[in-house]
Amino acid sequence: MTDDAGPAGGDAQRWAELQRLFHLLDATLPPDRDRVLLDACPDATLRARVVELLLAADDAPELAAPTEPAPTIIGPYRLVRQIGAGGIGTVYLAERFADGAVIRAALKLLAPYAVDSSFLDRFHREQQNLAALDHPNVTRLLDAGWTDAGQPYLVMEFVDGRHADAYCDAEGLGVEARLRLFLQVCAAVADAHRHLIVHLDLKPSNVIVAANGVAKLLDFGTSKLLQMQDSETATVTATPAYASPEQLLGRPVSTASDIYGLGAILFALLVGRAPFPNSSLAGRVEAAFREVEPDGLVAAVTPEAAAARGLSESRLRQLLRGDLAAIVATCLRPRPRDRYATVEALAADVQRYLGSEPVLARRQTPFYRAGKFLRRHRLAISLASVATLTLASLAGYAWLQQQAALREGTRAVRMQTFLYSLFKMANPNYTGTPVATVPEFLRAGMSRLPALIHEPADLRQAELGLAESMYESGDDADARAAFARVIADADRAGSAADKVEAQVYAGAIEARQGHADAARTLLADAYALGRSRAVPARVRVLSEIFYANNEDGSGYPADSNLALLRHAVDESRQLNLPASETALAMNYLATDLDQRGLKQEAKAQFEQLLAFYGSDPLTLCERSDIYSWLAWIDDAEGEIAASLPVFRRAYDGYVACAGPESAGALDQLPYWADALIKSGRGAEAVDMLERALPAWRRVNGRNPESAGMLYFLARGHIATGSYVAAERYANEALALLTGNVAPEHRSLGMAQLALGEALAGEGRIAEAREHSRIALRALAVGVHSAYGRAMLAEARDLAQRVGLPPE
Amino acid sequence: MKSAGEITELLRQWTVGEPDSLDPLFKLVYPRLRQIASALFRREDRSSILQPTGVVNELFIKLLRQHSLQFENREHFFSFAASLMRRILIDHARAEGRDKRDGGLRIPLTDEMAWIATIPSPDLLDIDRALKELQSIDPRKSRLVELRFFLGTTSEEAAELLQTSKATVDRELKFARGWLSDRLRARDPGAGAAT
Repeated sequence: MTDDAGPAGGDAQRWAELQRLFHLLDATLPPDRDRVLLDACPDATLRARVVELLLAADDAPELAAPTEPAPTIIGPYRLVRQIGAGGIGTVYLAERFADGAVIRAALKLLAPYAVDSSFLDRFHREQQNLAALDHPNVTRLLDAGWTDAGQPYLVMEFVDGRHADAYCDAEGLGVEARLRLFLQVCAAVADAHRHLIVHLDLKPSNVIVAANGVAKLLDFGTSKLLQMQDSETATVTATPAYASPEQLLGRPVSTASDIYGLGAILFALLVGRAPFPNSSLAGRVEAAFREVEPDGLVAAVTPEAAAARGLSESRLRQLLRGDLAAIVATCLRPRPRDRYATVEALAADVQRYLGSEPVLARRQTPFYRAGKFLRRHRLAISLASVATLTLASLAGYAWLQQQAALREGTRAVRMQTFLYSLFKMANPNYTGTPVATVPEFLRAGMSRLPALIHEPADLRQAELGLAESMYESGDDADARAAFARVIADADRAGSAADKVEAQVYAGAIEARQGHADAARTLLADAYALGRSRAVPARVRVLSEIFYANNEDGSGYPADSNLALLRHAVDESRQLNLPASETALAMNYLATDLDQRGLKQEAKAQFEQLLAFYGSDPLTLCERSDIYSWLAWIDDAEGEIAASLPVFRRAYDGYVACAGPESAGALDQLPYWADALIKSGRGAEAVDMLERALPAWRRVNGRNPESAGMLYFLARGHIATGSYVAAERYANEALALLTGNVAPEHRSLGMAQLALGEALAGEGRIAEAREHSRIALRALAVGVHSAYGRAMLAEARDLAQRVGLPPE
Repeated sequence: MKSAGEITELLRQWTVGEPDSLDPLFKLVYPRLRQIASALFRREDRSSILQPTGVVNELFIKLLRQHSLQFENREHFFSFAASLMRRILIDHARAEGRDKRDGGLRIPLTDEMAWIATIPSPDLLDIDRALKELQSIDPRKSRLVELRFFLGTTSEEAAELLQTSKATVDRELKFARGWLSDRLRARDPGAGAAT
C-alpha cells in the first residue's frame, strides 16, 4: 500500500498527478495502457499505484441489494416467469389451479422493508373497499400473504400487455392516439375517486395496455398496504420520479395527488420522459419544498421523442405548445389546489383538445400566477377575464365567511351536524390520512343530503350551500348539476329566493365555462326575478352584481350596469348584509370603475373595501391584492410618489401572507421598480430586482408572462447608464418571450425598445436603429391605452435619436 | 426538540464558514433522525436491509421545514444532509454490528445509494475510516462520495451542486471508488470494527 498523503510537502502535487494519470489511463484502451502510462509518468511507484487504483475501481463490485432466489411455489401459486421489477418488488406471472382450470395472475413479491406487520389486516380491509371498484380499466387485487421465508406478496389480475409508454412507442402512436389512451386511464382513476379511493402511485409502468388497445391500471390499493402504520416515518412508497410534491413532503394526500400522477403520465406519454428526470429522492423533496415546476412540455421534446411519434421535432413542439402544455402544467402545479379540481375536469379538457375546442386550463393561465406583465399591457383587456379573476380571488374569503355563517343559527347547527357526518363518512377509519379533497367531500355530501335532511326548504338551502362551495372549489360540473336541481325544486315549491340564488351561480358557471350567451340569459332572468318582493335583500344584491358584472364583462357595457353595482353596494352596507356578499359587491364595483377609467372613484371604492376587511389576518392576501390595485391606479394617474409606499404595502403583505417567493410578491416587484425608475431612483430599482432575481429564476424563470422582471431590470440599468447590463437583460427577456407569446404581442415590442435603448447607450447605433425599427413597428399597432401611447412615444423618440427615417 | 430557528442559525453560521457550528448542529438534528432510522430498521425483524430512502425523505423534510431557511447555499445544505446521512448509516452499522457476534455488517456503495445489510461477511467494510482518510487528503472527493452514495443524489445533481459537469463528477467518483476500494482491501479484515 502506498501512502497517498504523507506529511511531506509535495503531496498535493502527487495527488493531482495520481488523478491525472488515473483519468488518462481510464480513457485509454487496455492494450495501449502500458505504453501511454510509461510515456506519461517516469515514476515507477506512481505508475504502479495508478494501475492498482484503476484495478480497484474496475473491481469495486456494482452491488445490488441481495435477493434470495425466488421460490417457484408461493402459497397456492406457481411462478412461471418474471415479468417486471421495480423499487419495492419483483412481479411474476403466476398460475394457480382451481376447479380444474388454470388461473393466471400477477404475483408481486415485495421487499420485506416495504410493509409492516399489519399488512394482511389492512389487505383484508382494503379488499372490502376495493370491492366497490369494478371498472373495465382497473385490475383487481386478488390475494396477499407472506411467503415461507417471510417475504410479503400481493396477487393481482394478470394483464397480458405492455407498459403504456412502451406500448405507445412500439405501436408508433401519434399524439392523438396517445391522448385517447390517456383518457382510458382518466376514466379508471375518476371511477376510483367516486368511491373515495386514491391510487397514489400513478406512473406509465402501472398502466398495462393489452394488444387490443385496452389500458388497465395496476396497483390500486397497493399504496395503502405499503403505508407504514409507524407514524414516525413518512416513507415515500411511490416512485419518486412520478410522486406528487405533497407525497414527497409527507403532507396529506388527496385525489389531487392522483391528478399530479396523471399529469406526470401524460407528460411521459407525450415527450417520453418523466417530468423531473435525473432527480434523486433528495432532489425531488427539495424541489417539492421550493415548489419548483417541471420543465415545460415543449422544452422537453427531443428528436428521439418526435421520431417515436412519427413527427418532426418542430411539428411535435408545435402540437404540444399551447393547450397540451397548459393541460399538463395545470396537473403538475406544486400546490394541490392549483391543479384541476377533479379528474373529470382534466379529462374534459383533453376531450376539448381532441375536439378542437378551447381548453379551460389555457383560458385560465392569466389568472394563475397573475401574469401581470402581459395582462397590464394587453391591447384590450378582456372584461370577462377580469370578472372571473375577481370571483377567483374572492373564493377563499367567501368560503371562510360561509363557515362563519354556518356557525350561526339553527340552520347552521343542522348543517354542522351534517358536515360532521360527512367528514366521518369520507374518512373511514381504515385510513390514517385524509383521502378526500373539498370537491370529494362536497360530492359525497350532496348524494347523502336527502337521507339526512327531510324538510324541503332546508334541503334546498343545504344543497345551495354545498353547491356554492363546489363552485368555489372549481368543481363546475357537479356544481352546475346541483344548481339545476335546486332551480327545478325551487320552481316546484314556488321559492323565488332559492331559484334566484341558484340561477345566479348557474349563470356564473356558464360564464366561467365560456358560454357567454347562456350566462347572459340565466343572469338576466335571475336579475328580473330578484326584484320581486319575495326575494330577500342578500339574494337580490347577488343577482344585481352578478348580472351587472357579467354584462359589463362580456361586451355589453352600459351605464345602467355601473348604477346597479353602486346601488348593490349601498344596499348591502345599509342593510348590513353578510360580509362575503358585501365585499363581493364592493370588489365588483371597484374593478368596474377601474376598467371604465374612473380611477379616482375606483380608488375610493378599493379603500373602502380595505377598511371593510379591517385587520383580520385571514384577509391579508386579499388586502394585498387591493393595495396592488391601488398602487397601479396611482401609477396610472401619474401619482408616482404616492404609489411607492402602496407598492411596498402590497409587497410586504404578500410576503407576510404567502412568502417572498409567492406569485403575488414576485409579481409586485417589477411594477414597484417601474415606479422607482420613474422617480429617478433607478439604482434602488435595480438593486431590489437583482436581489429578487435568484428567487424569480427558480419560480418564474421560464414563464414568459413574468418576463416583466427582466424588462424592468433592463430599464433600470438604462436609467442608471449601465447599458451593457441592460442589453443583457433585454436580450434575455426577448429570448423568454420569443416563440412563447404571439409575434404581434406588445411585450415583444417593449423588449425590442429596451434593447434598442441599451445599444444606443453603448454607441452601437446601427444595431440600435435596427431594433428601434422593429420596436416602432410592433408598438404602433392598435394603441388604445395611455400606456400604449407612452410606449409608442418612447419608441418614436428613440427612432429619432438613432436617425431612423420617420414612418 | 430545539427550535427551528436555532437550527437555521447554526446552519447559517456553518455556511458562512464557522466550522465549529457543525457539531452543535449535528447534536440538534441527529438524535431524531437516528430514532427514525432505528424505527425503519426495527420493523418486525423481517428486514435485514436498511434502505436509507425513508431516512433521506425524513431528513430532508425535517431540515427543509425550517421555514426561514433560504436556499442561497444549496451546496452546503445538501452536503450537510449528506454528512448527516453518512453518520446515521455508519453509527447504525456499528450499533447493529455489536449485537452480531458472527459476521457483521456491510455498507456497499452502489450507484443508487449506500445501504446496510446484516449479512455475515468477512470483509466488514470500515467505510467511515477510509472516508475520513479521503477527507483529509481531498475533502471535495469525500463530499462527493457522501452526496452521491449516502444521500443518493444523481450525478447530474451533484454536478449542479458542485458547479461542474456530470462527466467530471463521474470521473472523480470513479477515482474515489477505486481509492476507497483499494484502501478497504488493504486493511486486515479483522481490524474493521476499529475506528
